[in-house]
Amino acid sequence: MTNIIEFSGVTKDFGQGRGIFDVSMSLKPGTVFGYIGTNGAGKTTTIRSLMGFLKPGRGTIRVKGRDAWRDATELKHYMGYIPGQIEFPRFRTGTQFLQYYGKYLEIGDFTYMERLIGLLQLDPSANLRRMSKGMKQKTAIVAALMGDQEILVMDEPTTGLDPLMRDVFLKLIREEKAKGKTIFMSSHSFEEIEEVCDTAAIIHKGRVVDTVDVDKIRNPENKWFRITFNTAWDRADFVDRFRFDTVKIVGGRSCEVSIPSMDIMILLSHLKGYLLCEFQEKHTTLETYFKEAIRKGE
Amino acid sequence: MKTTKLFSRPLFGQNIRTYWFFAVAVALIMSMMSSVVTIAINAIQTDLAGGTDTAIFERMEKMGLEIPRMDPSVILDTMYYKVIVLIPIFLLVVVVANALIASQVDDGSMAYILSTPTERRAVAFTHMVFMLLVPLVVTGIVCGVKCALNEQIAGDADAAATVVKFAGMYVLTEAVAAICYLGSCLFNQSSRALIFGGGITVWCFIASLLGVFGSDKLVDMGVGIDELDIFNRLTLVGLLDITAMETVGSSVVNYDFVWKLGVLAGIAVVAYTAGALAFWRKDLPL
Repeated sequence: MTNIIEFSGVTKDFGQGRGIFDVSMSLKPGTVFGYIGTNGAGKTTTIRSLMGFLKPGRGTIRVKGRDAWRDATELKHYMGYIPGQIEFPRFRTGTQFLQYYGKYLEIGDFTYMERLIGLLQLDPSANLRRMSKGMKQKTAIVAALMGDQEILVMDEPTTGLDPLMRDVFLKLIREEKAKGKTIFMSSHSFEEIEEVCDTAAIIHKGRVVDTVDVDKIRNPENKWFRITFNTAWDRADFVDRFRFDTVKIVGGRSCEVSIPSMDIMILLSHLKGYLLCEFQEKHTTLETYFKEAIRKGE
Repeated sequence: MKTTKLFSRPLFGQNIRTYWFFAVAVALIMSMMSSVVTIAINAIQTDLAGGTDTAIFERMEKMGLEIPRMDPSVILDTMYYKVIVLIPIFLLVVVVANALIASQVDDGSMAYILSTPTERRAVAFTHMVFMLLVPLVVTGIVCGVKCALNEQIAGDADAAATVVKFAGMYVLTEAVAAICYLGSCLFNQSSRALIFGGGITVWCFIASLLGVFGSDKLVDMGVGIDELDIFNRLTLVGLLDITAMETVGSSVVNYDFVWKLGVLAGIAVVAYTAGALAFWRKDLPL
């Protein structure tokens, strides 16, 4: 399957170390791609370049095989967008804005827009300028999704949403994914990337330091367990008798063991006969993975 | 969904919805100014024609004393076209040019136009058309009001010279509007665009104000200062040759105003084109 989005050695240098440098990554159609990084890491610059608002100094970005800068307008037929900085054109109400935006997108049937408004519990009749941050964000989400385009590009789309609305949004993303859409979203929240994304790229100081299969984090091949025995002698005996590939001694009575996920029953059978104080699975999160990747990238 | 390549009707409609009130307010203010000035000029001229001043001047001339004839209506008429009515319309073009592009790029709202299949050149062209039409409509309305006032109050039915003066004022306004548009296209920060476009406009206006007192008419009347004429060469308003335009409709027409308007039109074409090209190619922080 050919890539729907492809970055090849993209550099946009704003000087003084700001910008993005030699960014290469690709997305297959139907992928939900998470883009994570600290403030100023280069997420927004990457997204603006993808949308054709910034011209890369070096390298190319191809969307559906077309150049993101040169063919920017044509590509908008296929791309919905939530900008990082939400500010709407001068309309009195959200309804007026959405109707006008619909005209730009030549939408004749507003049924899907109405559904989105209902799901997000948005009151679009409110004054656009006086809307709260969350309301503005919901309006931006409706605008981005109402065109039902094939690719969704979203720069921190959950900013300002309360936890309940965040869950509604993630449900929407899963629905869009089920329709076969390709989603490129940046976020500060590891949880939401972990919840909905298939792949995540980690950007640090303008460079992509790692790309990770999120499913492998959700369902790792190996699992870590922390075991605390009743006595230090028991711990020493366990470690001596059962030679696991990866064992870490943590203090006198505790150790950590890594085993393939399939072999958990073997571990449990080995532990039979020992008196345990603690047996806990250590879940590797995207956050820990991110911190490790950043540490390596420094 | 089709791609908007040159002209966006929704965008043009949005511009009209946003700025119609401002444009109407400017047209009203300019019309009110026109009424006041026309009434004042008529009153001054009536006063001069029927008063004793003429007799005094004639008697003094017979005695060999030449005293410059002071006609405040001439000062007012010159000020009307070169200063008074320019204030509201210059304000309109400075504010609108800045709000149409630089301000929307600065606050990020331009993202909602450019994330649709609307070409950048369509955005630039649509705004340019708006910048061409709004001053045309406002100037047209005020010109109509002025012609009607001249006929009703001063009994002057010959509108040719007035129409030419307003046409000239429109070309001048477009030259200023194009410079503001260029600034709006060049800069991503609204404040910088405003300093560029607004700064040049304010300079043109101030220089014009000083230049009026250096104009031949006022110098001849003894109320002007010849040295101030330099300001007429340092402002775009100096290319609005009201003296030459006044000859339109008379037996001897001075066509000097034509090439001056040509220069203003050239400035407008160059600035609009440069602005559109800059907007088409530049990075946008959206």
